[in-house]
Parts: sequence; C-alpha cells; structure tokens
Amino acid sequence: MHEFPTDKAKGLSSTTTQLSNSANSMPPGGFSQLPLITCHSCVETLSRRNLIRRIEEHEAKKKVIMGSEEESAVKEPLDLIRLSLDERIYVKLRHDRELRGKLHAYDQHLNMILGDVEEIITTVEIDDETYEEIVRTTKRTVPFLFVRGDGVILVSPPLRTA
Amino acid sequence: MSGSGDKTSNTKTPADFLKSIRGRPVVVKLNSGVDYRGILACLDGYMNIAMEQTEEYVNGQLKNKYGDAFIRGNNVLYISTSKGTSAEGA
Repeated sequence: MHEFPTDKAKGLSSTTTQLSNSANSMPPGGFSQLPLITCHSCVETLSRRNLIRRIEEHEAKKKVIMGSEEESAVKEPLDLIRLSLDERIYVKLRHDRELRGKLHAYDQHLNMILGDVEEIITTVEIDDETYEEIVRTTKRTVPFLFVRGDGVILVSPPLRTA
Repeated sequence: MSGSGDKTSNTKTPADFLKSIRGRPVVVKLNSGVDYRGILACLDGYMNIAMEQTEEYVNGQLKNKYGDAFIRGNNVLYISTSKGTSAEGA
C-alpha cells in the first residue's frame, strides 16, 4: 500500500511536474487560445442564430401582412373546385360543348374524370334567307369519361336556371 | 423612374393587383368573346378564376350561374373591375 503511493506520488509528482512544465511551457497567451476557439464557434452560432431569427421575423411579418388579407392567400380556385368532388357539376367546353356529370377527380390542368356524363353539343345553323337560327343540341351519355383539361372553359355546380 | 405606377416600395404590382380585386365585382372577358360578370372570389397566377353570382353575356344575357363558377385561366382575355355588376349594362 505504501509502495504504490510512492509510485503514485512519483507519478503524481511527475504529472504535476508535467503540468507545471506544460504550464510553464505554454506562453502567457496560451490560455487565450482556448477562449478564442470557443468564441469563434460562439460567434458562428450566434450569427447563424441571428440569421434564423431574422428570417423568422420576416416570415412572421409576411404572415401578418398576408393574414390580414385572407388567411395567407391559400384559397385558390382549384381549392374551391375540390369542394365539388363527388358532386354533380356542369362543365363548359370549347366547341360549344357542355357536360354534366359527377366529378370524380381533377388536377391542376383541369383534366377531369367524370361519371354518368351527359354531353350536349350545340350547333347553330343560320338560314341565309330568313336569318333564322336553328339551335340543335345533340346529347349522348357516357358512363365514365376522361376530359382533357385544355378543352375546359368553365366549371360550375349544375345550373339552376338555364 | 416613372411615377405613373403606384409602387409603394412593395414589389410585384400584378400580384398586388390580383390580391386587391378579390371580393369586387369584375368583368372577365374570354378569348372567345364571352363576357362574365360577377364577384371575384379568388384567382391565381394562371388567371384561373373563381367567381360568384356569375352572369354570362354573349351579345345578350344567356345564362345565370349562381354559386361558384371556375374559369380556366388560359381562356381569360382580361379581368377588369366594374363598379356595378348586376346593373344593366348595354
């Protein structure tokens, strides 16, 4: 037991001497090296934190400004079409065509999947002599229909008054 | 530069205009010449339009649409604000 303490003492002393030696060996500004390193990382985190804080403040301001408008301006017309999903709708297409059917799906191009569709094609013939307009409607029913969006003009709930 | 526009240090004047006309009575003219008058519910950058109490004019008044009407943006020629919508036009 006493053997080791001496050894330990030697070891300790050696370490203390090492420490003292190292303390002596370090230049006076040696300890300032440690604070510099942490300061550098602190400055880094601080600047990043400042940057994040500024971004958050800016976005908060934006939200306040846009929130005063209308719920951050998310309501697009397409969002309101979504309310008509699984409902019967009226679709006006190009070339004087109209559709009435149940909206199953749509996308941003207004491609649509319609079920139980009735298509109405309107043709107007003008009599050269009498200038009489003969309006003809051709109807057909299609159980399931994919509509390409670029032909769509208007989408609406079914007309109450026609 | 020119002070004709109302640029009050906020960028994107067209987007500001689109935001400012929501809820107002508007006239929407399509490429096909059909006229729609109603109250603008909302619209987006593609000029897709959602309107309420829409009336369709082709030379004369043809159809009345109550509720929402969605117009695909590529058909839109212009969107204009009007003072009175249901008032008799010409």
